Amino acid sequence: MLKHGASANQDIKVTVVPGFHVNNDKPRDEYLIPLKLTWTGPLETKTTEYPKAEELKVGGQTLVVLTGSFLIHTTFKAPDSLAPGSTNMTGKLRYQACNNEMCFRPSSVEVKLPVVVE
Amino acid sequence: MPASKKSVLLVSLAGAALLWSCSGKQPFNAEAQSIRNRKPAADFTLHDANGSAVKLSDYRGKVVLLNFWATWCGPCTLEIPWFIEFEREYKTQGLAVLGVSMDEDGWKAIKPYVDAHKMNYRVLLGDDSVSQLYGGVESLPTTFIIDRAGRVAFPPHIGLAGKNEYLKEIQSLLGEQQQTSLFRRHLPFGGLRLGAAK
Repeated sequence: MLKHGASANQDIKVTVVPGFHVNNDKPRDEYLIPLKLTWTGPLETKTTEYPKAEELKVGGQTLVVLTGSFLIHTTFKAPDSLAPGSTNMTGKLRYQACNNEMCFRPSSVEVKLPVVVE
Repeated sequence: MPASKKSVLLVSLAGAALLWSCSGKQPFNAEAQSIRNRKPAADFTLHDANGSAVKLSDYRGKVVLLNFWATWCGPCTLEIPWFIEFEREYKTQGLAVLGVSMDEDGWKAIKPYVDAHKMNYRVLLGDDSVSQLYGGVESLPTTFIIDRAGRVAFPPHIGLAGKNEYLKEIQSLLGEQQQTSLFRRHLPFGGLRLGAAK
């Protein structure tokens, strides 16, 4: 439940399969594909905060990656113009996963976030 | 929209696990498949950085190392110096390295990478239709070693392979032609010895 002009927070829990990693949101190597959560819907996305990455050495290269389970934190704001009622925000998480021997092509997963505006 | 345990969304990257189970690493087998059992490598036409159309079948008569890769693929980056060396060392013996990039951003991403890594072999921009011809190529690097007759001679390398594995395979295929040439030189007329009956 959200009032006009109010802000609210939402965490997304992401779990990476054991043995794999995904790049963080700011990989050091310009060629690597960053983790990116984008939202579409009637709410304004004020901030998106990604967790602190860990360093991983692979073949002489030091990567900054995320493994296991982690949270991505988003702050939304309901615009004053938003009409009361039920709506949805859709989050799209783009990621690119690797292990020490191979990488999978970039992919995306979607999440739906139900929102009720007073 | 209060943040509570109930409202925390779960996003599982389970796709990665699924793909992993589908494309487990093949055990290394340095033995080439017998020539009779080799399957033709699917022909394709792709373009290089200059816009020139390149067909795999243009390389008939050469041993081809066909490497699917991408600029964002760390394990691919480890293999590229080996392929540069192979191209340099074995080109005159009939090896051609072909790199098929699966970068979605196309040449904008590939060209600077090729320059920065001084890649001396031909790089082509891949697409989904070509990847489907080679089993989908869901993980990178994936590499096929193709004999001079255009046939896949070994099980594909899915994921990072060893430099020596590639070397053994390349050398064995380059040697096949030498053996065939030798055979032809010493046994003309297809190996039949003709002579007058006594």
